[in-house]
Amino acid sequence: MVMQTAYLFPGTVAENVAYGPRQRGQRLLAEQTEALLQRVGLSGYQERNANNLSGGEAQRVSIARTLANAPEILLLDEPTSALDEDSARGVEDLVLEIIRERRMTCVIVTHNNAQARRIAHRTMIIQDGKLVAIGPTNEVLRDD
Amino acid sequence: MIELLVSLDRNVAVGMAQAAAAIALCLGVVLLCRRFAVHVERETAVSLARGLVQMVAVGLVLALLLHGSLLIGALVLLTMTFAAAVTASRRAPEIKNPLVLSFYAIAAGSSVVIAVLLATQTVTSEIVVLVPVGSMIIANAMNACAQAMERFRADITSHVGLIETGLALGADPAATVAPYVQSAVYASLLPRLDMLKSLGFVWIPGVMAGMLVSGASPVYAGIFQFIVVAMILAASGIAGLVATLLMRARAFSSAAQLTLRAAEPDKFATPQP
Repeated sequence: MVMQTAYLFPGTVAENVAYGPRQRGQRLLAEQTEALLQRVGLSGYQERNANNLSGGEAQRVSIARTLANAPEILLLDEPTSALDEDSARGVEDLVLEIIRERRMTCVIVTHNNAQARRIAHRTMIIQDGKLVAIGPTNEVLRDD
Repeated sequence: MIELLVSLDRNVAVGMAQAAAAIALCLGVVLLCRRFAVHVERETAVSLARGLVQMVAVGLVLALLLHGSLLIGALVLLTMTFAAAVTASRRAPEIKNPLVLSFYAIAAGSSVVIAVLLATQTVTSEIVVLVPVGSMIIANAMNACAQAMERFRADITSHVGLIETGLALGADPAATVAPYVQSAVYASLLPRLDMLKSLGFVWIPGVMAGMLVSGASPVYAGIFQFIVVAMILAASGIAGLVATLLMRARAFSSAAQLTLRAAEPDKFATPQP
């Protein structure tokens, strides 16, 4: 799961990426950490202090940390809403690449219809806690 | 009980006469006020009556303490523990059953320490010794419990995102809040650690002062005071730890969801100007 705000744990980027596997008693090898960071465009960031990253970088670390758990389904809760436009677009592109590469199911929550059109195959609209529409994105968001 | 009442009888009669004189003086002042159109007759009469009744009641309780059995002493300490739990429980209204949590924590800290004090014969089981020393232990356990609860609550509610991130990454609930457990227990111990460090240099506590006034050996009074403060530290540590661990257990649902949140502002509260 990737949250709206990238909450990084105190410590280095590498320690953050290794957090999930460590909870299951597994050790993430240095090469695996580098591969994950390279995938999110942060190669060589292992020893950086997690508190000194920009919003976009922090969100990329957050995605790498989630991928380190090898999830079958990726849950994204407004992953770009706290980022500036450039960073948001970069993270969005990254998410799209990862989904296509890994053929991974992804559920993304967004208030941005344009973003939903760019990312999602199917869209579900929830209004006041009730499901009001569901179907292929190009049909559900046709009138917007 | 009868002996107690008989012994009290003569002094009570003298005391009531002296109280009557004090009341008469107060009534004289009320009449004087009335001459200047200051009407406090009713309020003064009620206050005097309440004051007299309350102080006689306190006197009776103290008389029972001095002559009562160990069972009465235990009941007094239990009542004190309950009252302390009521006070400490106000620190974490968001937690389910904060009163029970506080009671367990304070009772655990104070009962272990009082038991050790009795077992090592540091204090005797005489009620006149047990209750004052016990009340000091309970009061400090209450403060430690309240401080631990307050710190833990504040840390959790200000790190919700980080804790939920840890949970989402598969961490055990206890692991996600481990740093906050440590800081809460430490925060509850810190005032007592400082108290122990500054003992004798910065302050001479009441127990030692009282023993010196009553003619005890200064060295023994010092050692006894050290024992009491050390026991206060032990009681505080147990109370703070138990309170934090019980609070941690109640901070998550059975599905490992963080349920401890900052209290919603009271929407019916009167807005402050």
